[in-house]
Amino acid sequence: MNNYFRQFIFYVNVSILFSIILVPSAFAIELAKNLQLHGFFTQGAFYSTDNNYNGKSDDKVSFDQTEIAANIFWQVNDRIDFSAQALYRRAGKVESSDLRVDYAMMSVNLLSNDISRFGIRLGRIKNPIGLYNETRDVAFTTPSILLPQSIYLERSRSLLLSADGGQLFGSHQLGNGWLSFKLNYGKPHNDNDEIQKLIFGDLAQGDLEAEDNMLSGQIKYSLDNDKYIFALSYVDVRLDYKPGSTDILAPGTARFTPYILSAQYNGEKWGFTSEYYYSQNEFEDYVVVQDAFPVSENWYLQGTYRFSSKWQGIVRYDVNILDNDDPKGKSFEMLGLPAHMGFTRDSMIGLRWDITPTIMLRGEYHYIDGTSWVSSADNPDRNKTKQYWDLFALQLSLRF
Amino acid sequence: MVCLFFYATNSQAVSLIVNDSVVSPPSSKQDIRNIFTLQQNSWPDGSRIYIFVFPDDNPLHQEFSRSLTGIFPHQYRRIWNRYTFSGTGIAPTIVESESEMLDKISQTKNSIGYISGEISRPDIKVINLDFIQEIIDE
Repeated sequence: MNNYFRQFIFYVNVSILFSIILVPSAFAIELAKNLQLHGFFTQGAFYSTDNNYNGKSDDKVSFDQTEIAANIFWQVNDRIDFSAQALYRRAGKVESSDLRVDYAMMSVNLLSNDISRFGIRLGRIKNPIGLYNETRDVAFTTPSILLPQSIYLERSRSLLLSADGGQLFGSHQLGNGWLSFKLNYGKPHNDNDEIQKLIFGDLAQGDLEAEDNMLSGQIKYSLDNDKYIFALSYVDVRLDYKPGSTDILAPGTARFTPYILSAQYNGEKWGFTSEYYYSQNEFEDYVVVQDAFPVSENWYLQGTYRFSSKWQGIVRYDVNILDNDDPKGKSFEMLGLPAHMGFTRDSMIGLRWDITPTIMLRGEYHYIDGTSWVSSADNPDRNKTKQYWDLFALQLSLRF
Repeated sequence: MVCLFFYATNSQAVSLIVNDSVVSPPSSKQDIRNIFTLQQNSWPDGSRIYIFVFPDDNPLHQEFSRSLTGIFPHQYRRIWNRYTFSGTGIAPTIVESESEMLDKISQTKNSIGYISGEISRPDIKVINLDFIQEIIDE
């Protein structure tokens, strides 16, 4: 991307920022009782002692994270809703400048009363994975600037974010809580460069793409109106490799089937969250590369404390291991790559300031051991990456 | 026509109000929480619930959230944001004044909201909150 375009995008951002601040918050939110418009703007800044995160952050400040979205929700009648969101996103070299339909769907409420709901959605629908995937790009809904990479890997964001197809959803009041489920089936997006780079390095000349539909689902029990949340999510996604013309790799497949267990406590002041990820992965039929079936096991533990209605602190320990049988990354070393590509342990501390209900500023510090989740796009020469590094991040977000 | 009685001695007392069309208004604290957390988005007869609230930092909203439902405004907002930005639900409509609240509730079928003090007018039902008191007393 050339400099002029960068500057142009910057000025567009700045002008949108000011227009959101200057326009009274009540302006376009409710057009009618059954029609609402909302949106948000998020800008991040990153500085790291080594390795790049969201742009050239190594010993510099990178502003390469911008997210702008606008959405509409229309209740047509008691049974039918339409909703859609457009999202502009820039995240380092992984996503240079991308405007797309984030979701667009029709919901049909087949059953809806005071104790039960059941229905179907059709269109582009967010996948219900863990606690945060459905709104992972919405700063106001996430606990920190960087989502725990143990569960919400940037690398597979594009693949797992949403799918074009359908969703069955339902919920039922059970005791002091609600038992709910979502089951999604549809075609994922294909922007799997980061996944492909990690598996094959520079060996692959073709494309790893999902040709089949993917499945994702979640069962959740929420007690005492989200004071306690327990959830189990499951994903089954398969990618097919299409070799390039002079490729040495045969048309193999990659399949990921993660289970995610989530537990959250939301108290008046304290909050605790933990998620555990277990995935059996299959890499088969590439002929020149041996078939591999690594198991990934990841988890994080997170605590938040609310000092006041405007200030909240957070600490988290986040562990990502790509192959349980190779926690020290020896297989990467054998390929002439740094062993620390095989794991990451991230300890973070952060502070969030809700300046007003619609403007939020937060900052966080990460002490990181490992490089398993740094992007190849921002770190093209893996041998220049360092095992131990610090990352500082600052983020401003506005919503209407 | 319309008569308004406000209890000047206790201006922060919250009254839960619904449009006259609502046949089965909430009858427990849990019902109120289910509605305002969007867990329940239809009345028992299947018609949509329309919710009106004051802004997050409004004292009456804070009083309503904490005392009446035991859920903090920031907790409501987190829940509403999750629906709003995933396209799976519609957040409560924000009103800026009590007169706007009364206008909206009286004009919108199947709506629910709250005001300070008490009122008496034919197009709005005030929910008897004795059951809330019992819970607090426990």
